[in-house]
Amino acid sequence: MGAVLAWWLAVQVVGLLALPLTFHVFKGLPERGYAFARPLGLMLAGYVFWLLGSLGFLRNSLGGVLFALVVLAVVSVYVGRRELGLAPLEPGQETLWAFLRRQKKLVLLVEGLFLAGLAGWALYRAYSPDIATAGGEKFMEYAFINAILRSPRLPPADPWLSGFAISYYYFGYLILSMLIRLSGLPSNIAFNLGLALLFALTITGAFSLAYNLVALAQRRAGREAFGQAAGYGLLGSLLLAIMGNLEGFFELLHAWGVGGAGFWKWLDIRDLATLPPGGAAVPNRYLWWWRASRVLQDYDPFGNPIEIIDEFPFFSFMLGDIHPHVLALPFGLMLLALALNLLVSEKVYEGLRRWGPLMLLYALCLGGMAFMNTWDFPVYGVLMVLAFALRSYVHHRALNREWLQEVLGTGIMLAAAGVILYIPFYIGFQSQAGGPAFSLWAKTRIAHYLVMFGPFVFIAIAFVLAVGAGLPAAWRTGRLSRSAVYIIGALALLLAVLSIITGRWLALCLTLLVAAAALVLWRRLEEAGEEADWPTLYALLILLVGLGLTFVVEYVYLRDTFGTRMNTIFKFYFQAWSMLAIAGAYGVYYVLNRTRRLAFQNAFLVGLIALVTAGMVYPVLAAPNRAEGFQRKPTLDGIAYAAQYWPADYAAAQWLNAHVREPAVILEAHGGSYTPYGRISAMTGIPTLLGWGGHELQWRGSYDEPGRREPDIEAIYRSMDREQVNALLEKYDITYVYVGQLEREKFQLSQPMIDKFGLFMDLVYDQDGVRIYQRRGK
Amino acid sequence: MSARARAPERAEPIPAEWQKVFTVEVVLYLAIGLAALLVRLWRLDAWPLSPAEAVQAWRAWQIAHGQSPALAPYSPLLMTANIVCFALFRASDATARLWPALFGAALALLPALLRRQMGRSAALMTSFLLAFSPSLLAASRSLDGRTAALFAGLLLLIALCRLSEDGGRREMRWGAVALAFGLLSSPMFYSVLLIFITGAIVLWGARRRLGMEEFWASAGRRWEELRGRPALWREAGLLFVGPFLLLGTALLLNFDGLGAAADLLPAWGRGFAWGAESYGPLVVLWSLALYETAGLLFGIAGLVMGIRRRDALSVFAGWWLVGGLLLSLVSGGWRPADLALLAVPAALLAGKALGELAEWTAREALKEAEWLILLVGAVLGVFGYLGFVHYARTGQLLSLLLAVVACPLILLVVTGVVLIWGERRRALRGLALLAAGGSILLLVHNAWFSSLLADVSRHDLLTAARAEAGVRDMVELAQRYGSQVRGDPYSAPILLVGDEVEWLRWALRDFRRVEYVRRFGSAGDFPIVITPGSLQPPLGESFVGQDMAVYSDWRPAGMEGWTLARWLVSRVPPASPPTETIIFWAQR
Repeated sequence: MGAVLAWWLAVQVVGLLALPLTFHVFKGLPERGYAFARPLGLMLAGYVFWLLGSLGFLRNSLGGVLFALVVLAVVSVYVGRRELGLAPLEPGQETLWAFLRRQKKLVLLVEGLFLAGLAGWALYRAYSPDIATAGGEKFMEYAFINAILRSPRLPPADPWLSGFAISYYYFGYLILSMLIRLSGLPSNIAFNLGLALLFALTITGAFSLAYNLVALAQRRAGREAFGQAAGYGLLGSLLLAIMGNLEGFFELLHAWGVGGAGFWKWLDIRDLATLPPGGAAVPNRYLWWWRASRVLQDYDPFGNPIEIIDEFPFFSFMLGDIHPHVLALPFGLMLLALALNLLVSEKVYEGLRRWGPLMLLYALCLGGMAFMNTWDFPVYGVLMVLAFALRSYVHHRALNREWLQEVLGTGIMLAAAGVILYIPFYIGFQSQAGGPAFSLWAKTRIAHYLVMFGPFVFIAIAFVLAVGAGLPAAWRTGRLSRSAVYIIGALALLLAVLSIITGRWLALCLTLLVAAAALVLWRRLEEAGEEADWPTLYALLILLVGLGLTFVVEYVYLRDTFGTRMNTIFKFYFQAWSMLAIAGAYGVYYVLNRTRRLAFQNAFLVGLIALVTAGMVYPVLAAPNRAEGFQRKPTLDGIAYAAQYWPADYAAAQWLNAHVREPAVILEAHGGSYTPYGRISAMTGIPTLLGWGGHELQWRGSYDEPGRREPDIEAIYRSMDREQVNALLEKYDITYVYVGQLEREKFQLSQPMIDKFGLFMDLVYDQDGVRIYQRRGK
Repeated sequence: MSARARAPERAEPIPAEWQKVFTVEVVLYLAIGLAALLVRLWRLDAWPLSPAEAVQAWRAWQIAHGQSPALAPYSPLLMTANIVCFALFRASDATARLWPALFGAALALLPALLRRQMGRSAALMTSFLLAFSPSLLAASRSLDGRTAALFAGLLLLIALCRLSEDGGRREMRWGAVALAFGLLSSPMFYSVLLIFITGAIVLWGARRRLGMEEFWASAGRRWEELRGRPALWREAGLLFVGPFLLLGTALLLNFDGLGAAADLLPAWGRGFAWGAESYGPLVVLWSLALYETAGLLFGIAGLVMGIRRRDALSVFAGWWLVGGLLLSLVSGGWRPADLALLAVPAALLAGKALGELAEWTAREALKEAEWLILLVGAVLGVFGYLGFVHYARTGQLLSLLLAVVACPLILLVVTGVVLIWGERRRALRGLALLAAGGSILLLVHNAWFSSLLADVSRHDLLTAARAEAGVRDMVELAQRYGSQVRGDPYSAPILLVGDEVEWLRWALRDFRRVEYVRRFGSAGDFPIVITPGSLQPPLGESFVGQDMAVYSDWRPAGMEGWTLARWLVSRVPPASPPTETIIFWAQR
């Protein structure tokens, strides 16, 4: 309880400091970006801390964090001085205080939602808190966080390759480490609170986006109703962060024995492709909830299955990995909000157009995505440029040279600034990415796609139909631009033909849907006068981008060490989910409030309820299963399990954490990914020579250095040649040598091999079969 | 009859130019400043730098010589000052402590900027107290950021005070520079900031009760005036950022200085944690009473006067004193040197009271009643002191009774007689003058013992934690070894082993090769090995060792009655303080 309170307070402080700035920036939104004060504050403070730390001005310490917060506060107060009443207001503006008084209900709702999300998810995590080695990347993430906390300077040391800095997009972990320092909590507890924080930020971010869209539409229609907008806001949170895909529903049917063997074989979801057992009230297969993230199935030309990852937010939160795609989720929503803000606010558009200070903020947020989850940078960059293009079109009223120059110029400037602001990150960053590759044989089945995105596709079709109701009439009366139709039509035709030739039926369907959405968007854009229907245009835009992401992976993927489109689908589908969810929430509002045909509305409502209910099966059934039925004694301590399963190592790690303050290197056994190897460095943050080699390959794209170290590690443990061992200890600047159960087993250590260390090192720890030797003369 | 010729009127003598500049007041300030400087600089290297001082100086020495020091807490302002100092002069214990001494002397002269607000006499008295306050003097003679923090704090207070009246650009500049200095100086500055911020809130909240509505109304009007002058704020901003960056990074030679400045705030927070080394609230109280008697006694009087007259400066200084005391009482990391935080406001308040007393005495000459009290008081004071000294030497209770019972009783009787005579004001003034004289004598006595008598000060609370002569013996021995064996005093390679002796790198800075290891491996080619006294490394028969005491930290425990009296009179403790030793191993 105290830990949750301390964590909440730390986050609140950051949010409050950033509130004046947020209020100033999000001037176009009815909610003024209130829900994004926390992520914006975290990103800006994190940026200041990281940049000044990387340049050597700040230490990686609590003092450095406080300094960054002071800078944030000064900037926030300066930028928001008018809104704070410290300088005269511009006409039509209101102060932050007036807003808070006027929008009390909204503020309380957002705060309540945040607190409920934070506390609620923390409580849930307390029943499955383990930072386990297998079943995800938690151990790696924990190692990163501890390594960042232990590094006196930035960039932080790689815990699993001593002497090297982390070669990964670690911005999110850095932000978490800042909160850990601020709250004073230990990392094993803060890890789980970090996940709860991401959940809370995601639901409030989704709420804010959907609320703003509906509130803007209401304002345009002259019918503002807080309750309705708030309701759709909550729908946005539900669709994005809580609803699952339909795999859970099919798991239930399978457990009930519904459907014949042929159906399940046709559906071809692994583990469900067999004859349904029936007779169970709920799915009871071991780790059945895992399958929801592996719905899609690729086959190589020889018919061998290839695993494809298709996570969605609720799965990721439930799994408990603080992986970059999860870390970046709330910040991605913030970028969506910035894009909406750009569309609806003339001042913001002008600010970007003139490359003013607002450009810096936008570039900083966009560039930060590359540092947090590189996959997000191009996607949100494209989205931002498209949003700018739409706004610019309404300004210029034509697709002319000025418009093109403006869009290209701003787009390039945004991207360039986003990279330049984060140059220290790019220097020394290595990646496994090897450029685009064409997906020659892999294609997604429509059935799998609908299992994955069924509710969103349903809403998207209804939304496009509803918005496009006037299209045929516009075409007949010439009010729809012929050139637009021809261009979109030609592109769609080309892609449709390609899809048919390659047998990509999903791609064909998506082509048709995307083309229809594009036409509808174009029509709306053309008829936009002084007061464009920005919420609808925005929703259509993000719908297009979301569907577009899922379309692109049918043809192209990014080459990496996996050699398949697994990772590309993983990242793109996850991003698409956010966009489709937000667009979906607004789409529901549009269909139910802006269409006149009651039958259409009723049919839509029935379908929506059915699909959302089917989507809710997953979280309702999977969550308790993941938490083992809430049988365990709740605790937020993520490595409490280690005290039970590896008590000796756990105790040794505690000792190291208490006694080792100076920079050091510890040698321990290395091994494969998702194993307990590298456990000491993960639990302490003290770098080791080599941890999970496979992950180093993924991060650096090369196994050269890890490969060089493997025989040396073995030599240190097994060799009886004192000179050789000393030379290797010196070469790698090793301070401690750890000898535990894993080391004994891996290197087949005899007692003389262990005792030899005592001849030239000091035995500083000897307990329960674990020995730690410290090098002399160092 | 002719009109008598009028005698010509005598013309007023026209003062010479130098007389216009060197008024009595100016001369007095110069004298105080000179004296303050003198007592701070005199035998500044009487004892070696303590471990905390040595770490600070060593880091500056490393940067001045182009090396990169390891991360550690330090005062960036003093780091910059030391780097400049070491570059210009030879690095030594005295030059390392130079800047705190200069800040201390400058602090003593700051009240001159408050002459108009406090009164000339009050400002002079305050200067005097700041110059000779034992705790401020001890802090000024130590390589520590406290005096810089207090200098910045007082300058900030002066700027705010003057801004609230009619100050402008100049005061804004002072304030900006003071803030930059303070944030780079010491964690103590955060105590000052906290006191100032809470003081403003509390005093604003209690404005009606204290009758200060007019002051706050006027301050509000000034704020509105200043708010409408953005150029002033921009200039102040630049004057903050520029010095902060330049001084914090040692003129861009030490980027880590900003990180160290940022770490001062968490260091301040950690200072509130309680542990085995904590002193306890009682020590805070009695050390305040002992070392700042004049400040405390007359400070209370000054505060009462200030509240009655609704003087904002006095009330604020009172809050500073009370707030500082509260912080000291709850802070587990409190050290006797932190008394300096209370000495400044005490001096401000006491200066006010003493200034009033001085002006009163100048306005109305002393009458018989006062002379009587003064004379009797002086005689009784001498006898009482002698009695107390006799008690301290022999333990005879009778002497103590004479000193603490008989003498005050007689004085009380004499005062009573004066009161009966109807001379209440005279009696009060006489007593006040007596108290002033006595407390100033005590001030000088304590300042002398704590800072200016090297052998005695090791048992004084303010300066008890210090390095011992063994540090210089160690250096001398190493020099002799080098001269004898290699013909060059600084040529012998030296190996330092263990965390406890890392601070000695400062003392050994002039030696050409000094290496430090945390754990002993082997002596290698080092003919000299220095280890903590508890470590006996396996050096073999070829090395011979000699113990040396390098650090002592006396604590006032177990003193009462006669032992306490001995300590008060001549700083002789009941037992010798524990010392930390090293072993100097030299190859035969």
